[in-house]
Amino acid sequence: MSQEHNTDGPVLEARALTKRYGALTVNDAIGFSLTKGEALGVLGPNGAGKTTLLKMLAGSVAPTEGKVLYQGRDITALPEPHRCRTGIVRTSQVPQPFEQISVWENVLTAASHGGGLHGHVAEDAAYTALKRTGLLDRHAKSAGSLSLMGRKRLELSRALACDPKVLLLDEIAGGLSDFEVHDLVALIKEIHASGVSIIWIEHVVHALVAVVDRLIALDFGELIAEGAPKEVMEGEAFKRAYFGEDHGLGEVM
Amino acid sequence: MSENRSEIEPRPPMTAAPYAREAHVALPLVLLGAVLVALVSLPFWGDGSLQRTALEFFYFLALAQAWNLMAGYAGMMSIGQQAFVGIGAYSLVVFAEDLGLNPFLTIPLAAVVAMILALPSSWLLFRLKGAYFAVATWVIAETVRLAVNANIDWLGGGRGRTVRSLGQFDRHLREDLGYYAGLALALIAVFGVFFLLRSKTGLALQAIRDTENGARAVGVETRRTKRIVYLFAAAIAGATGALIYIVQINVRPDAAFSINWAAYVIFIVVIGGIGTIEGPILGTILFFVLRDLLEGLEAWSMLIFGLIAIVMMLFAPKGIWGVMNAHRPVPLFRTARKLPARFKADEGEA
Repeated sequence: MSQEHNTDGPVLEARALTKRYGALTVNDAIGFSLTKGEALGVLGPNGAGKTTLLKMLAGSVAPTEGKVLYQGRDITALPEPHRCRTGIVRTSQVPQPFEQISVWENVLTAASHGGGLHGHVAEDAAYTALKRTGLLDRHAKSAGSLSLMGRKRLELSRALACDPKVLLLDEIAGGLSDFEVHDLVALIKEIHASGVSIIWIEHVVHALVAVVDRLIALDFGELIAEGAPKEVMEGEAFKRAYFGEDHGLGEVM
Repeated sequence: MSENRSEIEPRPPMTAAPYAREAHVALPLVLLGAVLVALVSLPFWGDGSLQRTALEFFYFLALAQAWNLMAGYAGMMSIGQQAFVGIGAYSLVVFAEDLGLNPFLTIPLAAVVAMILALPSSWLLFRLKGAYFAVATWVIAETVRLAVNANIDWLGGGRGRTVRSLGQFDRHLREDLGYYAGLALALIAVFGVFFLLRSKTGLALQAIRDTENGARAVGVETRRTKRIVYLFAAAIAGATGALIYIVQINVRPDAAFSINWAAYVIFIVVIGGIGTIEGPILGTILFFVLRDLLEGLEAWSMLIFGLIAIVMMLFAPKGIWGVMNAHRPVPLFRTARKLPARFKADEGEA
């Protein structure tokens, strides 16, 4: 039923994506592709341009140069809400709950707009999303009253209610306890297993490598490594980006 | 929804118990019905002065509902709705005097004209946010007022024009027709807002109010949603403008485009309770009571209104309705969406 036009090609592709703010180049001609059903991790020190890259993919930031292709189609000019409806859904690093309405209404909003659904079908989608993220018991609570973990779950519930084909996760494990991260990893694994392609930015590396098939690494807005997780993390360029020129942790210890 | 269900398939008493509080749904409906019967029959039992006060109540209520939808739900703090009141008033003049239409038929036409003129101003205004948006709405309204005042002879300049064709109606008939038009307008405003809020547009609006970026991330077309609300509010203000001057007959630019139309309405919504449907209703009642109490104080009354509004904003930002509902909320208009009853059986499992 969900047979795409070109099942062989990448589901999402970045072509020479560049973002400049005046003299500052946040992303410099970044190119990579995401295969259908793949989970891709994005690593890089703070300020490497990871969030900006994700925002360009989701459509909330317009690239200065370059293109975004979705299922082979150029969607660079497509606004964020439309991209969301075609299946590219981003969760924000800082959760963006609609604080004055209930958890249920938050997710129903996503199902009605991002999911493009109506009436009972929208309610079913919202219900399923809340059930998957384990937030169903808090459906009547106002979103503003949720804890950080609750807010992250809500962010994910809303994304799921939009029925994503490509899920863009921005540091969703950041600030959570080990137990919470464990739960979250299980949930993301399950989402991935259901056929959703994922791009995940994360500093909690053990969580990331538990899920992703492949990594890319950014530093100062440039793509410095790409490949299997182990390969990338043991590469010279990657170590330099994280630990400095002579990755001298040895000396400190 | 669950009410209908219980009619079709009555539950055994044991399972019915947790839903017993839904019986309260009936109370607001009875209340609403009683108020409606009283208002519809008012011209038959009330005197002329009561009827005129009620009509004034209707148009302030309509303006308050429209402004509340814009500011309280969509976060668009306009102080320029008088532009559309004035445009409505001058639509009445042009349609009734120059084109010879029945003055009462101009009310819906005024709404359409206001909406058409609101569209280009929305292109301008939606580039701005917060205080900039607010100031720009005022600037637009002042520009229109000054233009009509000084430059358009056809509309009578600063002295304005009189809707002479209203003379064709017997006074009582005119007052009754005006009264029912006002009642219809107030009902359209209240229930228009209610049904809009119950729809997916209502969810989008509340999402936008809380975080616009978050709303866009879940597929809400923020511009489009805000435009729907802005045009709706303009239409209500336009129709209200035509109605006001069916009663007042003389249309002068300084009065029709007066900032007071915005100021009083903001006062009403702030004291009643912003971001609720009940708030503006309560606020309009309070406004009328206060205005009666302060009658004869002239400029002082404006100062006192301002002072009350400031005190309310500082100590009860959710208005009187918010204070009344702080402990045990009893909404008359249920706009909140709840987890449907059909899912409730599994609720505990999660």
